[in-house]
Amino acid sequence: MPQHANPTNERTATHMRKTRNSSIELLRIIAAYLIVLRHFVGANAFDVWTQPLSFNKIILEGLLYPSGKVGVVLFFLISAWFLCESTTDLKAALRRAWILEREILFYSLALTVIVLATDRSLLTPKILVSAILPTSTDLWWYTTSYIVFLILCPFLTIGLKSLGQRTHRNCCLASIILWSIGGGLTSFVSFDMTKENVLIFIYLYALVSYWRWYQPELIDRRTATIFVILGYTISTASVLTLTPITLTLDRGTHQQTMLGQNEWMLPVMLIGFGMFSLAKQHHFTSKIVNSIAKSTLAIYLITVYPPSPHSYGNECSTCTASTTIHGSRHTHSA
Amino acid sequence: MFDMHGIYDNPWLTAYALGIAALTAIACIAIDYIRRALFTISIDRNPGKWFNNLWKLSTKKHNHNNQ
Repeated sequence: MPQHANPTNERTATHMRKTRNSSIELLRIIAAYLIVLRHFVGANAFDVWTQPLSFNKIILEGLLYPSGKVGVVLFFLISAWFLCESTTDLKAALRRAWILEREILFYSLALTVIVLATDRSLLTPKILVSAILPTSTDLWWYTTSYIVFLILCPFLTIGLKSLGQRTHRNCCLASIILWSIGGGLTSFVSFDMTKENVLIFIYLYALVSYWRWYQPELIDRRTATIFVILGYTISTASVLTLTPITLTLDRGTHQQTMLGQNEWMLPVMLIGFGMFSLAKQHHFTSKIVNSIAKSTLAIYLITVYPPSPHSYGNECSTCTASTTIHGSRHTHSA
Repeated sequence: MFDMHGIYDNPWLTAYALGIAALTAIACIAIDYIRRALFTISIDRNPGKWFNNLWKLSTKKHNHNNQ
């Protein structure tokens, strides 16, 4: 007898679908925490990049700093994994965007009022307009890009489905070679991939949808663990190699962490996909974890609010000057 | 927002960074619980009502224009 014909199994399956896997929800919390850790390094009043090699520098630049971008990848992978589960229509996509927009609008207005009450010098006309139109004015890049992605998602899903497994696989391989290998090992080769842009999400969606639709068991626990270790090893090795070079040249010190600058960089992708794979293979349920996970977006919105002193949105002038190489600018953003 | 002047050379810097980041995240989560409570007693009483009304209005107009 097929499993789905059993009413008890059917009820259990429905219950499992309705109850979120807390392992994934815990990963959402970890992702938000990783973003704050990056913030601790990148948006710190103390410039770690100008310091000589030390144990603390390696931990901060090699592990904590790239972890923020891993957090962004994880945030998106979790959403994408469930979004590609089925094809939806534009109405469902807009409804999702609307639910998200309410939270974004709440924080843009509330944080602007707080800044207005405490330090008006931080307010600019753009920030005031952004308080009312946070998404369209790109107040937080992640939410803007994600909402644009949500609107495109129904069409992307149909398009990717119609490719079929073989063509979809080739598309993924071409994208990985272009962006995570070609453009994922140095900061000055990008193959037109743009930071803080919806294209990052489209790239990740192409990969995650292939993974989910055709080879859900592609990354086993051992491979996932190797991915995470390899990612952090490459990142740490780049700090160890590039720190003496940049300090000797006395320029481009922020290139020490170039492998953790963007979501599509190879170490960040390896760690992100590895961590997600490990989490999805583990199942447990906790109401507390699931409840806390619903508030993770707030961590991003509050800590990355542009007018906050030293926030990600407020890049320091020295960072901008020292990271401009070959016309490609790199700033500390989440 | 963060400042590690004076603590950078401390062997406990990593623990300090992990702790400060955890406290920041906890504070943000606490703030969001207040936001969620406010939403529960206000706009979440009829979730999706505004959106559905807007959607109905726009599709009605679209259908009317097509006729």
